[in-house]
Amino acid sequence: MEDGLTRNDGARRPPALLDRLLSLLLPRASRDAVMGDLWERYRSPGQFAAEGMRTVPHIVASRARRTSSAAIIGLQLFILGACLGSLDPGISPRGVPYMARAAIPGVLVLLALILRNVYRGEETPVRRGIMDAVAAVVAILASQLAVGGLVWAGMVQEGWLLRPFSYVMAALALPILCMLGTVEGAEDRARHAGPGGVPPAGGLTADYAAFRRRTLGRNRTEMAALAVIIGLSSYVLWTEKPDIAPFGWSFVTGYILLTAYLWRHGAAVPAADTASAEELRTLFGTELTRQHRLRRLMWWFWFVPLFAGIITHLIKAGIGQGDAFLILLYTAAFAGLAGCIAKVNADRGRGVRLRIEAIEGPRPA
Amino acid sequence: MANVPSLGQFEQLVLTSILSLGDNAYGVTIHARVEELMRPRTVALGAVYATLDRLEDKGLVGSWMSDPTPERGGRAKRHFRLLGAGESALRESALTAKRVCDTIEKSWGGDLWKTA
Repeated sequence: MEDGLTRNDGARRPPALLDRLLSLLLPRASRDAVMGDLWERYRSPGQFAAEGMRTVPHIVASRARRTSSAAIIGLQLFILGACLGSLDPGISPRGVPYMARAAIPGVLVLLALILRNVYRGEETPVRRGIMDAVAAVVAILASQLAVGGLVWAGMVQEGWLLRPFSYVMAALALPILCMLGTVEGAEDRARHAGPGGVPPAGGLTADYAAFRRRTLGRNRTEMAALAVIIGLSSYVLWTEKPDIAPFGWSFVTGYILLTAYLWRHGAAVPAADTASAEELRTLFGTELTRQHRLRRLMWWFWFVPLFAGIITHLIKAGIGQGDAFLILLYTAAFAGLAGCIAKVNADRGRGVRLRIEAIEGPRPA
Repeated sequence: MANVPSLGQFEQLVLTSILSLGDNAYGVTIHARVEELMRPRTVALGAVYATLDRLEDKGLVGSWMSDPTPERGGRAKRHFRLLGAGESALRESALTAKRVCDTIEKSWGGDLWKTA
């Protein structure tokens, strides 16, 4: 009682069901410490439940802040909006604005991704990306089930449901959502660097091997994502034959070339068995820089079609019709998208610089 | 002192609590000490956790997990300690608070310390 607290000495225990329920509501990363503290403060089931329920929102919000990046959320929002049709300023034949129709599944997917970040355990970046894409599919389907229920109950009109073609377009967002899910946050970088930025036990050789495995995994995921985009885009261009088909085919060709480049040069090169510590350190630094340059460019490549879409709408719907609001909207969207990509790259660059410094040691001023 | 991050009032209270608790600074004890400092106001346990996370992200405090104990249902404690940057930030805040007090005291004299 050194702090003047009324603490539970362990004789009183919260009901098991309540304990389990609160444990489930708390994010994994904080669960042990917070549940332990709640046990220590336990006086009655009511107090335990009330205090636990008051604590959960703070923990979830704090975890969301720590695990989500504004730039990544921005990019997720852009890609979901574009693929679900919210770039179109028009109104559907059933009288529902395209932007509003896309907002329901879009917001739900975004919420699902943020909550996934909050509650997920330790995952490799590749698995995290794949699971993010799965979560997006589930959220889109759930949103359409909910809207379908409201339509069935006669509460909203049928125009709020996504058209079948929207599902094909939504599928185009999944590979990019997957790639956004693989972006390493501050927590991942801290784990790779080890405590205090010092590489983890096992030495430089093991550290480089782990880095190479990560780049291999990421490269494969990136190629698979590109293959999905190439396949789906080709299907849309072939079946729908839109006005912008020539541009579309040029993007598809560009993505095919990109895939071939990644196949050849995307992963980090293996270290020679006979490499000295100094050679390995140099190779590690070089590969970190090369990987960063490559991925930095890739972020711009992923969003080239979206930039093109925004510019097309800016010219056709904004400038073409002299609509000042749409000109402002699409210009802001263009700047926002570019800003988000630049921020993701800047964050990554900062992490890479710290990592290189930790591997090579401090550079002379 | 350009690199010392500025602290909000609640952050100052949490850092002060960690400083005063020494090796025994973890969720329950930090919350109790913050409530002591903020008397008669009460503080949500969750608000303390959120602030601790933010202070850790700013590099002002560090944390580590202790061994699990039976009175906590076999769960570990997350202990906190001030890092160098945290000490500097707290010192800077304390100096600012002292300057504020001195300035008010010059105008109000001893009345400053009388409770309403």
